[in-house]
Amino acid sequence: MKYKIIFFLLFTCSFSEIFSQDIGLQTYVLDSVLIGNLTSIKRQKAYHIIVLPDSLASSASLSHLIENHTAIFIKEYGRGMLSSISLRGTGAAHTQIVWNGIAINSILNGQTDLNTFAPAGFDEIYLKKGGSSVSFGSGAIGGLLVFNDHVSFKPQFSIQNQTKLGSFKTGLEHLKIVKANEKFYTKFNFEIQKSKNDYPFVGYKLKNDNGAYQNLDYGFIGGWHLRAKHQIYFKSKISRTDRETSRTVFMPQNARLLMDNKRFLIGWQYQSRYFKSRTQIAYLDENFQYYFNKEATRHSQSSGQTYLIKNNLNFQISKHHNLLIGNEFTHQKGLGDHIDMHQRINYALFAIWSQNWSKINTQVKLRQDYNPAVKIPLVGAVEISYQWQQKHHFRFNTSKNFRLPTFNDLYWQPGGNTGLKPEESYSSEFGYDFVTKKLNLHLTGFLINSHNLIKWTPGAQLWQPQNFETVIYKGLEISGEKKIKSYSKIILSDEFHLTYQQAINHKTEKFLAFTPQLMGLNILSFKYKKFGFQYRFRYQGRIYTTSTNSKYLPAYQLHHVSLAYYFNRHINILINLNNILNTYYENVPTRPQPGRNYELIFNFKI
Amino acid sequence: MKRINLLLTLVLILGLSSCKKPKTTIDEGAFSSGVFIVNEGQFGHGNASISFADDQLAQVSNDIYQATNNLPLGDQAQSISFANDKAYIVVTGSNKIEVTDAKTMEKKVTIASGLSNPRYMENIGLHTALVTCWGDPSDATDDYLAIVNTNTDEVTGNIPVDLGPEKMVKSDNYLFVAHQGAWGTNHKVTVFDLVLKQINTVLTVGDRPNSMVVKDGFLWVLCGGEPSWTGAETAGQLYKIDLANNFNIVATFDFATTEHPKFLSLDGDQLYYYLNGKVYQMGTTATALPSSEIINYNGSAYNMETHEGVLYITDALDYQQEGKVSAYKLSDNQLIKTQTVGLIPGDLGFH
Repeated sequence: MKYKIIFFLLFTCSFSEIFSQDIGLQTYVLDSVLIGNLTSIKRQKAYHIIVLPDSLASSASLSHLIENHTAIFIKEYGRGMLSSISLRGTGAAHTQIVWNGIAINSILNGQTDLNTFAPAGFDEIYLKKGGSSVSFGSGAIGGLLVFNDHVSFKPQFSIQNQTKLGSFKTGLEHLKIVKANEKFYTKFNFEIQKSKNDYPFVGYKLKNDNGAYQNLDYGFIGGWHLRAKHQIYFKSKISRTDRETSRTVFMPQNARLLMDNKRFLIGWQYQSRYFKSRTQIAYLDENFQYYFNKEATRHSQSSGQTYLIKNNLNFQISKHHNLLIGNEFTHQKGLGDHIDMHQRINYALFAIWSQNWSKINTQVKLRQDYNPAVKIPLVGAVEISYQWQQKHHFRFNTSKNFRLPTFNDLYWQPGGNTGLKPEESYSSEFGYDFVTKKLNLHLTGFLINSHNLIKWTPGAQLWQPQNFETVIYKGLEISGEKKIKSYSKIILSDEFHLTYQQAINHKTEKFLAFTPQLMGLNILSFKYKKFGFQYRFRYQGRIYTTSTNSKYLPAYQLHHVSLAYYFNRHINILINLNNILNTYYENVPTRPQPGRNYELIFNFKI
Repeated sequence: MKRINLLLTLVLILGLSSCKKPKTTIDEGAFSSGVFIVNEGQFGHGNASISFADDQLAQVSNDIYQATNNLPLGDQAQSISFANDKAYIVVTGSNKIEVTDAKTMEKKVTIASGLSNPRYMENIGLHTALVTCWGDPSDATDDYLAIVNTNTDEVTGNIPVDLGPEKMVKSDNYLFVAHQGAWGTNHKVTVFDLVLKQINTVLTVGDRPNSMVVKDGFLWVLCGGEPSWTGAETAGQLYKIDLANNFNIVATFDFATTEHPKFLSLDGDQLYYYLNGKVYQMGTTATALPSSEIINYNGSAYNMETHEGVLYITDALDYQQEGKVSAYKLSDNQLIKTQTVGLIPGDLGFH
């Protein structure tokens, strides 16, 4: 049975009855022989972790992967364009993207454009809401989006291929090859995606002109089981996102944005019975080129490099006690048409003390960063979880987190402000999980208080970033899954996510712009023999677009349908009918998303 | 099904938009005397708008273009000007000029072709106007003046000019175009001969000429200078140029290197400009810059203009909310009234 679940997960349609069972997934993830994060899901019992399926199953961009599986706001400037995530009402730079244990947000603007990061081919993707600065430093305020490649020395050989054809001349090709034995592990991923993306604007006589994109993404993962206790690995992810910039309803465009990202890391892991050490050296390179006129060669550009060494020492002190000590040294360099060459170094020391009893788990975490240019506060967290009988699980965590000013904030010409302090944030949440075989319910209430938020504001001569905003974020998140019917061949289940949140400027008492209060997602799944059917309903509440809340984007509802047919364990076909009611919607003003559209996905695996 | 949905959507949208604000009823020809305020709107949000107020700002009507035509104006409205009882609203981001009846705001036509990043319009004859156009703002070689026939409301040709043409002003025989420099920087004023309908000469002035006035045969050009962030900061300068004498520079008034004045305007024989939150007044016969301000504005002006004894200051506040316009009486420099208008209020039009 378990084999079937894994199989299903890995390369068939990612229906909710499987992927929403966090517990089941965790078991799957943790049981395999892997070099994962030392701070992996298992250790995070005080959080509600949302595991996302590998997009090789559903063939979605990272933006759509999140929209299809969570009630989280994605701000996308038209399909395939600039896209960012807002967790718990926080800003785009308040979610840290973590690739194989390394924080990879841009050093220039503090964000990761979701549409530049292909989520396919990973072994583990999950979303963790709540502060995580102790483990991942700057920017981990709203939460984390984590992508892991697991190096496993279990003999295997597989080839996976996905071909997608979609509306608006969209095509995608993904190839993943894994070969491993007791000594070596290799994985190769290659993806190319192209789209003319000229969808009509629903209700207008306009098309999404100048919206074409071509994304290339590839990577290699290699591991060597050196000796019984030693493992060495290499991981890489290289991408080029070449996009035109879509017009708006009112503004024609002729620009092009080219983004190159290269990420490399080498790791060494030593593991004995009571002691584990993991050392990683990473190099991250980012490069942006903006062509105001795509036909011209004239452009502006900026680039950033990060060198990082990270070491984690894990001591299993007793059956119930564990101590992790982490060291991290970072060297960053930024340069561009608007930034003179600047460098920043940072050293961080952190410790995590865990006590794990059968019912109660607690963690105490502390981290101090040393940075010659800016004083960074001591941060920490306290986490408690309690299992009551089989069904009930309570969790509580509170943390202090921070975000450093970015290179753009500090050095952008004109306006960069080298006097900026780090943003500081206090975050607390309380959660309850009810888990049975037929019904799961997860409830979380949170409160975040962020000070010294950095905001670019107009001054007498020019715009400058200042530390002056205090924002209170609070909300309630509810999600659950009900297995309605389950016979031998029929599976019917329903999954829902609901978020109610408020992000309020402490001074003006107004809602922050671009933070919807209410979001909901319902997924109804049905599987009979070789057929699969899924109906997704997504609701997004009103989004204010001005600081006085005088203007807003209206709420919208979307309906999507997916059909799947599994020929055998090697081949399946998936058809997505998106936005079937052809609803006009946008989450950035005057940047419409597509109306009704189709995707045909062909999966093949040997 | 589709139709039902469309209907539902329409009902929903109409319902929502009617909840948004009470519909302002506007009398026929309501905009015959007063000040038009061009609200740029947030970049990329398509929420540019036009407000109208009487010259004392006693009453203001916001969003009059939308209210009259039930159509959004577009993205980044830059300026308004008038010709043949028509208003010409230049919408830079949308690369167009919306032509409306000047008194009712009723839309007549859209001039969409022949314009690339249009900025300001000025009449140069009964049926002819020129529009400053940047082209690609980072390209120094594609800037031009679009020739608009204000009878047929079409672009009929263009005149290539130097980088970054912006504001214009007229004397009896000439039209002057200040080249602030678009996304770059420039220090030129193009002189266009209104009789011969061609460029006469190009004058060199200080860095970033941002505003001009003509009075008694003299052209005054206020140059902001290079700001400090450029790394080559230069002082603001005020030029006095003799139109009768081969465009000779008869006087140059230098500001301190860190001073970057803007918004030169004229009322009677007095010049007004804005510097670091303060308004200064200077006679057209003065031989030195004034040492003290006449108005200390509590905010950051986005534009300033004078008209018939009243000085107007627009303020974009945080650029993410409805801005403000204040009126000051120039006889005693006292504030008359402040009103809330649209998002990022900039250009002012008097008709």
